[in-house]
Amino acid sequence: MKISFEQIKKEIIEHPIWRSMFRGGKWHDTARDRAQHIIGNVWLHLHPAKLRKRAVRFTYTWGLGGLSFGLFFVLTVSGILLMFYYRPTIQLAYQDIKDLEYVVTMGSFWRNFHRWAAHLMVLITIFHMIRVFLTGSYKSPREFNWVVGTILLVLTLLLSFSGYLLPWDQIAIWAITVGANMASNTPILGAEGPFSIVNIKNDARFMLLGGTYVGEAALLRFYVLHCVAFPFVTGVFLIVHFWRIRKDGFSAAPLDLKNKNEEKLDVWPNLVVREYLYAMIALALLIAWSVFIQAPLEEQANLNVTPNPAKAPWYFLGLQELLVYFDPWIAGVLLPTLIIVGLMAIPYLDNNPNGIGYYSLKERPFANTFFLFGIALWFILILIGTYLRGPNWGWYWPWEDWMHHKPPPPSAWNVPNSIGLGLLALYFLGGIFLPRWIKKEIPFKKYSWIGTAIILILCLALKPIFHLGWTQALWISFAAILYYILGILLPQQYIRTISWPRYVIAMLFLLMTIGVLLKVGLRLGFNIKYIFTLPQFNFNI
Amino acid sequence: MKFREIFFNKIFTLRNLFFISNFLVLGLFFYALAHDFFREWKPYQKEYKLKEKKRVRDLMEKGDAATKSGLNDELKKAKAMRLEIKQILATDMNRVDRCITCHLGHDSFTNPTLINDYKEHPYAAPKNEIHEKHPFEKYGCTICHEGQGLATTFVGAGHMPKDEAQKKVWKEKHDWKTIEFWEHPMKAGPQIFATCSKCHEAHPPVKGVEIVKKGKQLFFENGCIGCHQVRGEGGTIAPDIAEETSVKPLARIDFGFAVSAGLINKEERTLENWIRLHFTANPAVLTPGDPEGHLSPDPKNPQPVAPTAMPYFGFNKDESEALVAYVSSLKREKIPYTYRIPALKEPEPTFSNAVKHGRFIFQKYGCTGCHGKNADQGIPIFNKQGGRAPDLVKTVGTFTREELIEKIQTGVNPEEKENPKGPTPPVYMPSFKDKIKGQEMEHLVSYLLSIAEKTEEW
Repeated sequence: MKISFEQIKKEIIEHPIWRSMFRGGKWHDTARDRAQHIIGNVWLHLHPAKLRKRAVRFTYTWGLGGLSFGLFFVLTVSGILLMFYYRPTIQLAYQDIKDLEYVVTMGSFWRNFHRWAAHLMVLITIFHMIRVFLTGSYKSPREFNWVVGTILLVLTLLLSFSGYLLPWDQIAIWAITVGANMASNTPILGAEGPFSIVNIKNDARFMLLGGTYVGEAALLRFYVLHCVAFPFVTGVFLIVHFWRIRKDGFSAAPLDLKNKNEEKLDVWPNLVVREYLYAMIALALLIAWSVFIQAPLEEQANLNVTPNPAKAPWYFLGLQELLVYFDPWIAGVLLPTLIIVGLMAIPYLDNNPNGIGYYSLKERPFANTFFLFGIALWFILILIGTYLRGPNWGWYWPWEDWMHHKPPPPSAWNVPNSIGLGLLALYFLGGIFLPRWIKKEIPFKKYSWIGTAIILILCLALKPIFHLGWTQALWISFAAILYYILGILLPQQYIRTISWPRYVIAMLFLLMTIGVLLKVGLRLGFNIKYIFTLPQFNFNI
Repeated sequence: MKFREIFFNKIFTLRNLFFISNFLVLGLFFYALAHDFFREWKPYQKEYKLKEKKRVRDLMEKGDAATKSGLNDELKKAKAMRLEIKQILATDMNRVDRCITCHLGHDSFTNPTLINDYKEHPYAAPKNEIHEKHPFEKYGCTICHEGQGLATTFVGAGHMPKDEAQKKVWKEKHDWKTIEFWEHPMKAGPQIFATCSKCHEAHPPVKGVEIVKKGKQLFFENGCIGCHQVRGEGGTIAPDIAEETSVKPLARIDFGFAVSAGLINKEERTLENWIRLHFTANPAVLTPGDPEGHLSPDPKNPQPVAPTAMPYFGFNKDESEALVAYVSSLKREKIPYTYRIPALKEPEPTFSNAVKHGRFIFQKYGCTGCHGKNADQGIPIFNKQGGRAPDLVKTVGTFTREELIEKIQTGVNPEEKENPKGPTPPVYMPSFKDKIKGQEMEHLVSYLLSIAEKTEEW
């Protein structure tokens, strides 16, 4: 008797034992069976049974949301494996990591895997957010799920950050020291923040570390947070996130307007197999990466030896770089809070009904430009912090060796408060009122070119008068063009008609984002430390 | 049919991708397993097992029936050897040493006598009196040899070559490089004896320890103690070589100038090399300070920093190595006191006359460091008026006995600058009021006056 593969498959699938595992009786491979396979399976039932064709396309979702969860899943698995060998005490932690590295079967592999998967998860989660933004998938009825997503992004960063301490080596404790010191600059609740009502033994940093320095208590705290508390909270929000995806409609892919009777695809197997495929490819990459690239492990932690420079994990290096330009509580507390709040507010501010479910710059020019500008700024700051900052947080080009000494940068100067306040007022008031006052339609392209040309000519003319260097002249023209096009022309063109509150909030966020980049330029190009200072309140910007 | 259609409909299908990706992940996972399974140490254990079996069989062939049956057990043991990571838990030493995973001759279970006839590393275990007296089960390996005992790889263990030839061989064979992120790489060659004094503080008369004693003698003769301290005793101008130098974390050492000057390869930054450079090179090149104030934060108000005061002594290779060994030997670890044999204070030698005793005092307090071994050659001092420490043979004659005592008691601080805008001179004559007293002072002055060049009186 001939036995074919199909025959065996049929025998297995129709066997009573197999059928008892999967609800739904005999398998006929009909649409009903395939739907039943999704609905009747506890793991798969968060999917809809059928889906629009567009939502399944790789170039629509890039599989990023699924990958974020996939990485969370493999991180949980590899994390559980690592927990068998890890003891969170300052005497044993480092030695346990060495044991994983040198003795434990597959220990080195799983440690590398966990480390690289964690970095990848942060990156993929950020990309997922960018994707969701660009396809307008946060618009009604998905506003709240975007908020949940933002919370999950923050939790992803916290998960990664708390795990950073556990190897108990030099990069670990100093990265956490940098991060925890930012907490001590929290207004009111931080010992070094403005309006502080606490001291170093009961402030926000003390709560985070369980002490005044990164020691035994901090290690245990971070261990519990990393292995229990954060995963638990993340799990809770993940469930909400998935539930809302399911209830609000998968991926916001719109109806095909040309074809009203568009036939939907069966999720089993069309979507499930794709999700599985993306996960497998990511897994393959991660495994290969983990075999060949060792996760970093420096000397055992030593509170008496501070590395120079001491850098935070890469995703917080943008914030650490901001410390150069702003007071610690502004760079470390206010700006991140504003970023998170701003992200959460996006769906409630953006009431443009167009561009849901597909990439479109034309239908959402303002929103997409602003968002991509913010993301670019975030990554530029991270790149500066990672690759261009050396000892004493000095500026080192990648081809310059940290070993060779550099004189410190010339000392920075403050713009007098009266001038600084005037400039700030001009900047914010001009940015807010000018676009709204010009009521008529102005040709965007033409005016952009004219404005750019005028700014460039002015800068060339001003260069000899103020003895500016070429880079300085370039900075000034770049700043002016940026302000003119992104801060004035673009909102004038696209959002001048929205309601006042929405308009003002959106413009404040936009001007602050541009302002951060302009401040970077003022500091790096012109050595201006602060443009406005109120030392009494630690308010220096 | 077009190729495009064939490709997308027949080859690049979801079903095919599904199977390919599954096999890819499975294959890669097996590769990871294999990568983990074939570890660096395993071939060494296999090789040792073969060697042992061959050795016992050879002995059995040569011997008579009685020896054969006697050796049977040994052969069985060799055959039963399992490939495994071996480690010594030296709890008193606060160490877990896995060196015996490769160096099987020193594993007391594999080789109870701890002696074998194999010539090449890592199998060789020659007869060694020091090993005999320090059983590995109790002491481990890295308490003396240093290196990373936890590691099971060649580079990870922190092996250090004893010379250039060995370094070259290791680079080819093991892809060797200096271990990163481990403060204590292995001690190579004669430097190993620097670690004896972690317990044997008195430098016992054991072959090899001479190098440390020689270093100590050089340290004494050259007056290093005039500026440096050893555990709080000595001059206060320079770092304490026991409490600071011998345990200095790498992160605190600034190799920048030495690397720029080409004195050392960036990859060879170790504490031992840092100490060595102070004897083989001019220390002013290692620590040139910032005499022009180029590195000050405010260029309008420069704050110049003088280069190090440590002069170039011009030691030869042997002397440098001896000094490196001595400085390294001052490192202390937390070892239970029962292991430690503290040094008794050495009695001072006696002298037949005041001048000879005075010369000893001149050395004892490190005057030689700045004024020269015979008080005839002052070291250069940056930006000090005259540019150098005085040659005492020339200047002492201008003092009366009382003036000289007064001068030694008060010292000169601060020294006057040659260039008023330049940095403060890095070294000055300290006050010896609390150190040299009574007879010691009298005899020192007698010695100094005895060597003073006679100026013609008219």
